[in-house]
Amino acid sequence: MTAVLTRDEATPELPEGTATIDLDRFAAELDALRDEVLASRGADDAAYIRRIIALQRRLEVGGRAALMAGVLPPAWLAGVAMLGAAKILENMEIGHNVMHGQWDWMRDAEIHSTSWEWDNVCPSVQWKHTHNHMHHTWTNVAKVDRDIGYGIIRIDPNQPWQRHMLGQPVYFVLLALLFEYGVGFHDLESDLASGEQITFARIMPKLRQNLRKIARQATKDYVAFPALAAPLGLPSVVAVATGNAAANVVRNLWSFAVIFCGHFPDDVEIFTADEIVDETRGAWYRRQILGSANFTGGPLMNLMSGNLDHQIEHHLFPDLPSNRYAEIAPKVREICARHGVAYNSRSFARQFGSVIRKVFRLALP
Amino acid sequence: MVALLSPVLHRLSSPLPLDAYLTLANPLWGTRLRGVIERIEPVGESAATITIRPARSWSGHAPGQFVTVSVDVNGVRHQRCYSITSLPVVGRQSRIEITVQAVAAGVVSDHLVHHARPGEVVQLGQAEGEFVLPAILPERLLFITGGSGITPVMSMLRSLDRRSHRAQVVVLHHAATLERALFADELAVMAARSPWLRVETTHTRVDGAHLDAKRLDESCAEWRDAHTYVCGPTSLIEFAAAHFATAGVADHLHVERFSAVLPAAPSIDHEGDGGQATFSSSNVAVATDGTMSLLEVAEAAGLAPAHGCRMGICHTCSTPLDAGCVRDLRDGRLIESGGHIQLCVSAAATDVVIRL
Repeated sequence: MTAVLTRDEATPELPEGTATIDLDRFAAELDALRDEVLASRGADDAAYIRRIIALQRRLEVGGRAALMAGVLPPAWLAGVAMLGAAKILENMEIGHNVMHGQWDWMRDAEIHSTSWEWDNVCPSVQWKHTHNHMHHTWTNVAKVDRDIGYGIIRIDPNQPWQRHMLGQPVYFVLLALLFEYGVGFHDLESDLASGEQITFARIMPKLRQNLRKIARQATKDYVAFPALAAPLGLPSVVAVATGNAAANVVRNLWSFAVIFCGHFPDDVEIFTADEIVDETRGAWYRRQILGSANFTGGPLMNLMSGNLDHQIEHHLFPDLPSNRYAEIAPKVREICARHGVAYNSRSFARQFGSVIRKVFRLALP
Repeated sequence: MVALLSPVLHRLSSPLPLDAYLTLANPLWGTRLRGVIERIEPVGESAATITIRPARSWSGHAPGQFVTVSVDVNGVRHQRCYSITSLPVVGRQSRIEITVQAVAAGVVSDHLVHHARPGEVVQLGQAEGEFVLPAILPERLLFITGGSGITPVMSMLRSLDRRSHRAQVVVLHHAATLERALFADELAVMAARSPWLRVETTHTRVDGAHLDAKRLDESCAEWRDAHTYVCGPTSLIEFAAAHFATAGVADHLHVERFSAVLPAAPSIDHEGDGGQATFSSSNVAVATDGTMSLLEVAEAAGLAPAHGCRMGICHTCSTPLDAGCVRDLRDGRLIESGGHIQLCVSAAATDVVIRL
């Protein structure tokens, strides 16, 4: 089976640089695409997100109920599967996208970027800062976008090698298993790495926020729900706690994989701060495309990846409803092809495989 | 019981409120006040009486009060106030009736009259308003109403109809045409069997007669002594307010303002309209030219709103727009109040009130 190598097919031979692309026209065409979606945004989209939210909550209730009978291995497995899927949906298709403001237009206070708190140890307010603001504005700009390797992994050959990077295949696996904690402390880590003077007083507010959210999440998954199973005996308590832990890990592994496929596969470009001085809207759009990678899949992949299998479309229009990305993808691709902008889309296995290869290769100088 | 257990239950539902799960089982459960539309009865061609079953947290109403109702129209939530026409019933049998007249360009009234279906869940507020009967009934009551201004009065009349009292009641109602006169039959029946009630209805588009000093004297000579309620179009309210003030009896007058026609979407077809930007939490108001983003306007006024990308990407500067209309600087779309706006890509298109 050969993976789709869109990059090669879709990219006409154009000289390096910006000389041949009319960035204003490129931007106008993408803006028009955005307007098209805005003009047709309505009841069907609202029904979609409400349906997904109801599905997610039913899966969660079902998963937690099944884990109450978790001493029976099939019930434990079913519970982990349902709860894991619920947590994936909550974090990816719901939480991430709601916090982007994709559903703010509905003016429903319960599905709103200013108030959504997600089922993840990362406090939403911190996520919105590092992700919505820093990462989405400065996508793949070296040293500004802290998502490049998350300050832990060397993912670009231009990042200077240090001895501790020899261990990065191990960090990679650990980060995958504990991904929500990586995400959770990412904002604080960015502050620490900012080069500004670190004082205890400065980091305390965020640290306290982190610890409080971790405590709330841990109380739910490792105290409150296991305690509900107490009348059924100690094995049931253990089954609930391990089931919840397994569901969290399932969510961690999948969200890690999806997110690492977004910006780290082969051929994704990294930019320097110099390159984006006085960046036009067209150039900003182009950077979002060149700095992102899609992976292929059907409706189930769209849903379970929170539509981040369309990372390119998401980065162009981070606040359009996620259910529309798949629909506009062919048009984005066509616009890119005409303007000679590479559109990176391959199978999930190809993209993730190339990330793993890089992690190993760049562990060495 | 839910209230008793709620500290524990909130540990389980965290980070979501318990409502998120309760409403899966029943949309009326939970702490937010919601209602289910039970019946929609057309009244003529352009109005309907909507019966809503509120959640148990509904604490009832006094006749004359209104309720805020929020509905989703084309995916977007809109909130409006409607007078409650039904009598108060508390407990499990509690129902709220509102009578809605579909008005031109009325997003919510059009939805409720023509598109809503029984079973639809709406968001409710508790009953509000001071347009109610006094605790001790006076001898004379006068109701001056226009159009759907009859709706709060209906609840009061129905309540009077149920009570033993010695008040003399006159209703001077104004409707465009006979067809558009809400509650015409019920008012006629009630008046026919109630010696205490007299109803005069004027069809303004047929008779061409709006209320004036002469007709008021003819219809209700004792108007100076009556406890008077007026509800209807602005012109009717203005007439009554001025006339009662001139007679020195302004304190006899209770006014319920509503406009049957909502302020239509402003017809702004060129950029740079601008208006006054009021940042309500900071108590700052500045004039804007309508081309500068409201983030820049706020910063120039010495405020420091939370913000991020300054290009409409990150939503850090999302702030509630409580009044007015803004223009999205990226695509020129107009956005009405009632939701959040992104300050960094929004310019004032009219006078605006921003909760900042």
